Amino acid sequence: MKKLTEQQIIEALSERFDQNKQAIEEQERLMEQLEQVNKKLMESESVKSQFLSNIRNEINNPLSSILGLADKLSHKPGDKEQVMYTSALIHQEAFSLDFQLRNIFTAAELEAGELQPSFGKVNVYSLVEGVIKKFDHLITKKGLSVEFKCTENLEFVTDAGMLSSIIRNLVSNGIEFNKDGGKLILEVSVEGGKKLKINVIDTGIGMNESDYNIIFDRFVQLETGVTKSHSGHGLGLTVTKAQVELMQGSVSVECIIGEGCSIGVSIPLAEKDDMHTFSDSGNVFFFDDEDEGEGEVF
Amino acid sequence: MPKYYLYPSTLFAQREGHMVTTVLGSCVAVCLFDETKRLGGINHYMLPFWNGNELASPKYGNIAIENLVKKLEKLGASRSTMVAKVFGGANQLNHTVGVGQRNIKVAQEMLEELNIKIVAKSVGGEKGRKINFNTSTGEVFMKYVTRQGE
Repeated sequence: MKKLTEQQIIEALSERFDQNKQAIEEQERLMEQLEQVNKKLMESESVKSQFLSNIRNEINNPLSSILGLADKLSHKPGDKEQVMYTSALIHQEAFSLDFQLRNIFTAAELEAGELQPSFGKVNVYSLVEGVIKKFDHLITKKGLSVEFKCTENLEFVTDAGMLSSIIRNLVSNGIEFNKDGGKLILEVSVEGGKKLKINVIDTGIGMNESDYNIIFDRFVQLETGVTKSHSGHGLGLTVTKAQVELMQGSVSVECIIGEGCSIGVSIPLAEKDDMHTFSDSGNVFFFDDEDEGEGEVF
Repeated sequence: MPKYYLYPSTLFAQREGHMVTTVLGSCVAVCLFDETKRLGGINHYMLPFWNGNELASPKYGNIAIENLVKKLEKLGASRSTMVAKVFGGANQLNHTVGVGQRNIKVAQEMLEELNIKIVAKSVGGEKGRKINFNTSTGEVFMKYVTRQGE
């Protein structure tokens, strides 16, 4: 056995102490990360339960209104004007209920991993125009003017159902967070035949840059608590982002405080069956069947 | 046999046998197959762990693996007779360095925890993979594919 001088022993020991210290530091760092993740998960669970308790307001209340109003219509309809007024109220409540439920079901499908895009040629112009029409009563109520900038009969190969859901949520968001008498601008175009670009611009109060990502988190609304002035569960933009990503696209936000926000969506052209694209942290890759060799069997 | 193209962040398991195709870069696909019931399912996840912010979807490995096992069990499969084949997790771009490796690691760790044996795998490296999974035989046909663009 090799005899070590005292100096060598001290050096060896101090080296081991250093390594030990590093290991402890590394462990502490990992522990801190774990604690952070745990905290986030617990927060996430608590917002989920908050969401479940909010369901009473968001779903039960409109449903009770619909039942009450429908009952009134069948028993004491009143004159033509009153019937029209009551029917409009029923429509308004049912519309909001339908909107919320669709988002909840879509979120459930996305969480189950069962929402699968199905691509076909879509007349984007008519689709967007149709969605705007459906929100007519809310647009009128808020006194908004709508500007729809899109080439007539613009077509694009994409998933019509998902695109419709995306536009619905962007428009709803643009109305909800707009100021009374404001402007809602929808810009839709196809870039180089390969990319569908949608921008929905509102003239609301805007938000801080630090909140840009938060608005896409599930069940999160910037304004919370019982006094919050905006309806909804904070699921709309979460579902929107997930659907856009499922189609290999991306979302972006730009705001000016006091002037409004622009939420942008970019969706690439769906490829033919024999050539698929997929997104890898935001980059789209193209793969071809004929690429390399015979392959292997596992 | 019906064909099915599996998109990232989704999973597939049905009683009827399908040929499921998916293309992987740094993403990972776990193919599970119950050898007794002759029933299989597959996922395709992009990131290892759910961050607690977005939807708890199979975009994340820990959720994708757990959900796939549960879905197969609902269809009548049993965890004790399940085997796994794992593919993907390539390192493709500078800014995704480590994602592939972490995606592979979460599959290995979770399958070990679930007592599901990995009977075959082709993971890591630089190239993307295209796989065809026959859900009624458990066979996987794999080809390497090269990236044509970013």
